[in-house]
Amino acid sequence: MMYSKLSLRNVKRSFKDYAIYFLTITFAVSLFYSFNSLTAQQAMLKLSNSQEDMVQDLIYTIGIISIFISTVLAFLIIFANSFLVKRRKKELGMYMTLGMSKFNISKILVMETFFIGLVSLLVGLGLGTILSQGLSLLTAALFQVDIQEYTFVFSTTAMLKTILYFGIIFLIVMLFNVIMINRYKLIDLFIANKKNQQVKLKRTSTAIGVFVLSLLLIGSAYFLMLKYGLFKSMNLLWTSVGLGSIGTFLFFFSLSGFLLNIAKKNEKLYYKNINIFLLRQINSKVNSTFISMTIICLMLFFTIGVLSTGFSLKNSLEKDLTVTTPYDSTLSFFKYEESVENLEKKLEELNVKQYGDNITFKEYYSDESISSYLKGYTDKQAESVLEGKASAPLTLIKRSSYEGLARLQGKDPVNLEQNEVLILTNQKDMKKTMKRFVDNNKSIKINHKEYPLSGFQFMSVRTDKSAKDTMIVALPDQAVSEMEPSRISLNIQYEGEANKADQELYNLIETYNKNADKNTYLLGMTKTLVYEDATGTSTMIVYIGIYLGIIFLISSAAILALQQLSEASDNKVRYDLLKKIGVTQKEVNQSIFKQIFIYFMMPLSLAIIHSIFGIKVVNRAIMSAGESNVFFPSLLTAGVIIVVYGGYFLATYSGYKSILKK
Amino acid sequence: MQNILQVDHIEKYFGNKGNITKALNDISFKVDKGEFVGIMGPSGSGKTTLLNCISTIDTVTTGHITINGKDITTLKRRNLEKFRRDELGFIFQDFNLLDTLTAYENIALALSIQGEKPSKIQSNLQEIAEKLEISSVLDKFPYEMSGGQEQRVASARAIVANPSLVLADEPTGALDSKSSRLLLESFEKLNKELSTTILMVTHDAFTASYSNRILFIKDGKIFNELIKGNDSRKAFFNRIIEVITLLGGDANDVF
Ligand SMILES: Nc1ncnc2c1ncn2[C@@H]1O[C@H](COP(=O)(O)OP(=O)(O)OP(=O)(O)O)[C@@H](O)[C@H]1O
Ligand SMILES: [Mg+2]
Repeated sequence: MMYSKLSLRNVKRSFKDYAIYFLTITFAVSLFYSFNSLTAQQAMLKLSNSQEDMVQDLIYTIGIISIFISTVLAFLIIFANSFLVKRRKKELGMYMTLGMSKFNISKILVMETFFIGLVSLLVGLGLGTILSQGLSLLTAALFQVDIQEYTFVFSTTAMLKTILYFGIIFLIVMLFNVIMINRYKLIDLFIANKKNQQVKLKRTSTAIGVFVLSLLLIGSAYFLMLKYGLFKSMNLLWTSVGLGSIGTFLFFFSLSGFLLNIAKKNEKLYYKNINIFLLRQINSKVNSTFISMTIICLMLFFTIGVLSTGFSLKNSLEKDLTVTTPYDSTLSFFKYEESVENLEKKLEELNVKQYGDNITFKEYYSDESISSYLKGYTDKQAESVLEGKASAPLTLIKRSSYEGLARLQGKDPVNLEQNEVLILTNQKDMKKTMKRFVDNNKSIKINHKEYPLSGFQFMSVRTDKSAKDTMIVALPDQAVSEMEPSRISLNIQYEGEANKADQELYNLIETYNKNADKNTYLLGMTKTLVYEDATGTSTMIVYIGIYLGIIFLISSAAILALQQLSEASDNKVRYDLLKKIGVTQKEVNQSIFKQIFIYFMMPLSLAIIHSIFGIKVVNRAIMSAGESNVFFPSLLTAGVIIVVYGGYFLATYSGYKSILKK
Repeated sequence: MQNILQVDHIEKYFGNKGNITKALNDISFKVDKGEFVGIMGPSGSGKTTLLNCISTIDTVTTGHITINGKDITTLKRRNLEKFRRDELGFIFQDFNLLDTLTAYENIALALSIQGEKPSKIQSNLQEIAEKLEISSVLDKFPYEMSGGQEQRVASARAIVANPSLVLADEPTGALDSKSSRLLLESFEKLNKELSTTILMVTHDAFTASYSNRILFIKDGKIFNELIKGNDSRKAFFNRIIEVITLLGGDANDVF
């Protein structure tokens, strides 16, 4: 009992030291809980069947990400904890000299961890409950659904899960403490490491060389991404990420080797006030923490990147769906083994024509590939569309089908002469190429026959999640009479209640494919589903982005804060001495401020530079899918970073000062 | 002679009502420019307290201390800091160099905080380093230096800015006799050549014999004063030992 009292008193007394540690864990717990409470939020939202399925996917994904996040947090907490123990070396050494056994000292530490864990878990869950109310509003907004009726969200599952995960983390922390104490020798506890850490790269020229190399690596990562874009190939993407990461590492690794020498060259700066001291402080910190600097920089890059592009990705995913959703729903079969007549019959048997106006049409594949026609007319955008689809055949439809399809979506079909043909595409990136093609060709040769070319029209022949029809040609009906169709589709424009039709069709598609033989797969899509899917996917991205991003942000800031605070007591002696030789309190405070500020800014600055390029690359990739605007999200991201990161910075600054005052 | 330091009836109490220590009990003395004054006394007699009060690190309970015409007991904190930086130099018992800085940087800092120009910092520094024979260790960190070297670097830091008054608390306390001698000789040199005023607290009669005048303190009071006059150092040393034995101390165990 005495030990638990002692540890309780310790925790209370050193609350200031623990404040950042405690707050960080509390934040982490509340985030963890609220993102895992999605199941309970569902109750309040007016979700359709398909959206419910998406929320299930989201819950599943968040579950997996939570495992990753708890690993990150475990590292963070162990790291933070070892800092706190180190800071108390002398105190623990005292206990030992007073004859307390290592076992009992471990007991005190275990108790302390337990108290802190318990309190932060409780407070975190409380905070998380409040947070999850707000989060459910966000969920509603992201899914673009209404809130049925406000209900208080509380998820017992999420609570138990949070307790379990963090319980395990704290158990590991306790274990670490015990191991750490058992490995300490009394002498280690008393003698602080007074020696300056060895500079990693002794020669300035080597350090500058490595620094230049790091810039080259980072530059080439930027270059690769800017030149080839995000989606060119996964290998390329990972290569760039690898180059950028190694570059970032070498950047921080080499920095301490020459930073000081460069600063010394600038005598005005070097001999100003206590800059001599300040520069040494920063240099030695960078010298000993370049690994965590690298990790923090990359985490911040991820946070900034994902927060500022996530929302624009969402916008762009949800825009431009009008083109690909001309009909309320589309059902289609590809032909594999079965005869077309059979498929037609099956389509009939679905009994979906009751829902409204409809048209059934067939598609045929010509012998020629799309690229064989467009050779010489393509631009960069078209090339990226056609990439990897060199042999994709040209799709053909009957003129009568075209006319019917156009009318059903409320368009007047283009008037076509006797033998004239019309090209259709629904891909924005193909527009310019098609224009060049029709401007330069009076006719087109299809299946060894020459047809006069009327022009091209930008339109879709079905409702689908994305624009997939690169090039379709509408031919006179008799031209395909001998051909075997490859796909048969049915487009419907609802009459009557759309909601009911949507739900029934959704259920129909789901059940049909479960029961059907594997040779016939019913492709079904409704306009609502397309929109929901887009919001679902983008919501997933935004959700995960926010979840991971904020955890990374908090972790980064907490590591920086603890690294600074843990050495504050070592620095107390130094600052006291400075004051003795006539440095004013104001100058000491300024020096502390600068030291912490520069330390916090270093990984952030590089992360911002990374992000500027990263956002550019993501933006380009999104641009082709739709419009995007990163201005507002970037502003929002900057706001989040200023509040969270800035908050940690200020907390560190004031904590630092109060440790020096003691 | 210009008066640099004047201490007027100062008292210093520690503790609260129930348990008061009178560390300094009505002390008065004067120091002129260019003097090298030693302060001796047994452990706990109030030497460090006196030095701390003069150096503005601590404040007196009553009385006045005037340095270079300024009454430091009435100065505001901001002015005190400025005063300390511009007028005083310190050498502490335990060297107190910043362990993160090289010798060069430690010394340069004392000048840079006064806003000196880089060129002046560099030239002043070279000069003082030669005088104190530490040119060869300028690029070393404290942990790479010997105790004597460290103390000479600390001395260099204390005097490089040409303070009106250098305060040294047992500067030889942690040094062997050879290093002590080297340090004291450099003090002597500074005192003679640059007429730096030095106030030095010490336990040790040999160290004290380098000064021109010695104040003896016991129980927070001055109880004797010795002036070197035209004596040789050897003769002065013997007189110091006499005082110590006369007042009940053991000549070998100087206080
Ligand atoms: N901060 C303090 N609080 C309470 N009492 C103090 C404090 N500092 C010094 N004292 C007391 O004042 C008296 C004088 O102490 P001081 O440090 O000046 O002695 P000293 O002459 O320097 O001794 P030494 O030769 O051992 O260094 C001692 O009795 C000491 O206990
Ligand atoms: Mg003392």
